[in-house]
Amino acid sequence: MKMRSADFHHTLSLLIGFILVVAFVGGCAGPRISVETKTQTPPTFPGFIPVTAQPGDTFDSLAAEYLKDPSLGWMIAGFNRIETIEAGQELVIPTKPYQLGGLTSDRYQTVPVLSYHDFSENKISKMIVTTTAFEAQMKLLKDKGYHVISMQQFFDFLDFKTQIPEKSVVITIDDGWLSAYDIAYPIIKKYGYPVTLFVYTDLIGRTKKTLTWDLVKELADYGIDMQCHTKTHRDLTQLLKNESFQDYIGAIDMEIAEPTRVLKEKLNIDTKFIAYPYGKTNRLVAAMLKKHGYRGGFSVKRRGNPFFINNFTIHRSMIYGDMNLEQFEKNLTISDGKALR
Amino acid sequence: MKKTPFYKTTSCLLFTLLAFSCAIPIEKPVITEEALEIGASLYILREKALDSENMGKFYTAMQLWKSLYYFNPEDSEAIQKITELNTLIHAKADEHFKKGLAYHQHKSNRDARKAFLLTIYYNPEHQEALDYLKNKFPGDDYVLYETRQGDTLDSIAEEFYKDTGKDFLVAYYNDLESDEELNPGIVLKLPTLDFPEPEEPARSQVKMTAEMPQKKEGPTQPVSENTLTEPPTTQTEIMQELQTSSEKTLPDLKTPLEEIPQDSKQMAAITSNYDIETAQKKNRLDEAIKLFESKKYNESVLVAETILEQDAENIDATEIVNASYYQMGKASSKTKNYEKAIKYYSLVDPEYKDVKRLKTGIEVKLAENHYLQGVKYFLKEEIVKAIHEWDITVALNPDHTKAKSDMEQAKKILKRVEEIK
Repeated sequence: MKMRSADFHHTLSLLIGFILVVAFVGGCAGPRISVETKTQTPPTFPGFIPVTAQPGDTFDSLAAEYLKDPSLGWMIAGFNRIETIEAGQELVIPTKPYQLGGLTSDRYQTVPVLSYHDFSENKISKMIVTTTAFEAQMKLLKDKGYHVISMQQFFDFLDFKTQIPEKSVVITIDDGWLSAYDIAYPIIKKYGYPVTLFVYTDLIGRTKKTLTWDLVKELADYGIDMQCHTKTHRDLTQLLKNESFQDYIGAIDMEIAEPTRVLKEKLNIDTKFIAYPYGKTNRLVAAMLKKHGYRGGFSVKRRGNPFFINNFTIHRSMIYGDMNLEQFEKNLTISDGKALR
Repeated sequence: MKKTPFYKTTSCLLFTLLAFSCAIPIEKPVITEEALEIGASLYILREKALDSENMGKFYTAMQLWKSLYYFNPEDSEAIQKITELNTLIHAKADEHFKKGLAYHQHKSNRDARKAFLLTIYYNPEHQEALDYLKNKFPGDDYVLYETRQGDTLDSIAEEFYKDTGKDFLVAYYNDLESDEELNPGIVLKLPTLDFPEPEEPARSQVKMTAEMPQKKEGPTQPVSENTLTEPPTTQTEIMQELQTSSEKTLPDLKTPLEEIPQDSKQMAAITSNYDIETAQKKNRLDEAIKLFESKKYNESVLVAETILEQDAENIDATEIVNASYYQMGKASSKTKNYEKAIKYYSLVDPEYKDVKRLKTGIEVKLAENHYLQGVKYFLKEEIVKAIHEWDITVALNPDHTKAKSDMEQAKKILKRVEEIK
């Protein structure tokens, strides 16, 4: 309902009167109007704050103060292109991502996703990584300054929503073998890395060499991200012999729906990501996953991932038991420029 | 307008207060210690802004000038820079986005991707370019279809999949009952199928002179870092493109087990299926070369790509892929199928032989087609469509002056028409 003209003028008069009284009283008392920069940040703030480093300031302490997260110190270091801070140094704090996707005019960031399967104390084979090798690989990541990021951070990077450290890596383990608990878990805990375990649910509790649901729960409670590797590990892109197309669709639907349901029921997890058995997928499978509310799927194509990769054809590099550290490191490609040539 | 006596009173009071304001100790806002510190440090923002601009990081530079303006709203240089950079960013992004659309329309995916990347490099807020990058290569997983009067699940399946038997898929994907009646105007999602369609003749049967890539001797050497990664999804696209004619020559890929294995030994057999590389790599390479020699370029690409899937640095496989697409592009060009020619040339490494020159030649020809199409629309008084065609013309051939001037004229006409309306 519109305000009548007389009402409007009356209200306006009252308002002006109030302002004048406040101003007058305030003026007499002589209080100072101060600029409270910390509490008056308007929503349009463009994102860069100049600061002078004080004695004892570090990237992490500045990140804690200005970005409310000490783990974001790398953003301050990266934007200012410096490795150390000295007292008195003038810096610019970026409070928002300043280089989404690690995109420049001729390069872009790529994130390697490592894929492990089984581990053993001493048995060496292609698909089984030894304890010593796994430990050495995790140590290498730490020593060489790689940041192991979570699946959530990775997808925020892929969706062009957030900036991640230049040397970012994702770690995944497939299937659900007991060794993921016995061997990988203590090492993961030691380094504090976020890891995703893609389980194919029919494997859980099947033999002595596989995880039980109790162990899966323990891993999940610790913070290991549990995601889908289908129900039976069938190739999602192939029709079986004598299988009709309709039966095939039904079967694939079950391969997606069942682990989603079981993980929700047993662990109260909303499954959002899948590792395709044999790394194989197609657009129909991607469409079906989207119907089930999935955000992404992983192949086993040995490459890093730029932000602009389709979320349902994400590359992963399988780490083999017979790889030495040098071969392992070759999988850690963090930058590329081919698509901009 | 009648004013109330109170209004008059307050107005008088306001005037009085303003007139005697000097008598009242109203001070300018006091800058706190922290704000003073910021004021003293503002030069670093200016320095960074100029730095970013010099490095071509216009968006970041603009944000830095905006920050400067935020802390000092009287900074006239900041105001001017923000305006200039904003115009520049949008002009650059728009230019690359139009190029991207033109290339995407012609399935020149490598160029389209590059153009969209440059679009969001200049303007990271360009959501449309981001959508193309993320979701339009090689294509959508499903398409939207709006039902019409008389549509049934059968008829939609027939129209979209050429198979009434896939009516269940339409129902499944849209949570419909199998016998559900469809009212007009419902938007359905129809998933895209990647399964082989009925066979068609292989394009490799086209006669041409092949330039055979030579297999390199000795162990494969890593190439420079920036050539490690193929543009993503390219292989998916290749697979779709080539599946029709290559089934019989597909390498022996992993076959899924039909039953769930009962013990760990059998389970280990599953994982060993992942191993599609080392032992067979040499055989694959030989097979790819043989296929290339037989001018079966579709198949040679497919086999070489299976090697690259696990060994992106493999020089020999890369060479076969480049050489195969190069030949396919030349063959398409020879038969004046410029649409396909540009698509194949786009899949060749831009540094490979004279592909850049060949592709530019095709782009000029395609641009001319778009120009003429624009003229046709113009003569039919379909001005908006004409402008769209000339936009593509200029994107493909920036030197097409006729398209540029015609487009200017058309825009003026369009403006006048809108003014009259």
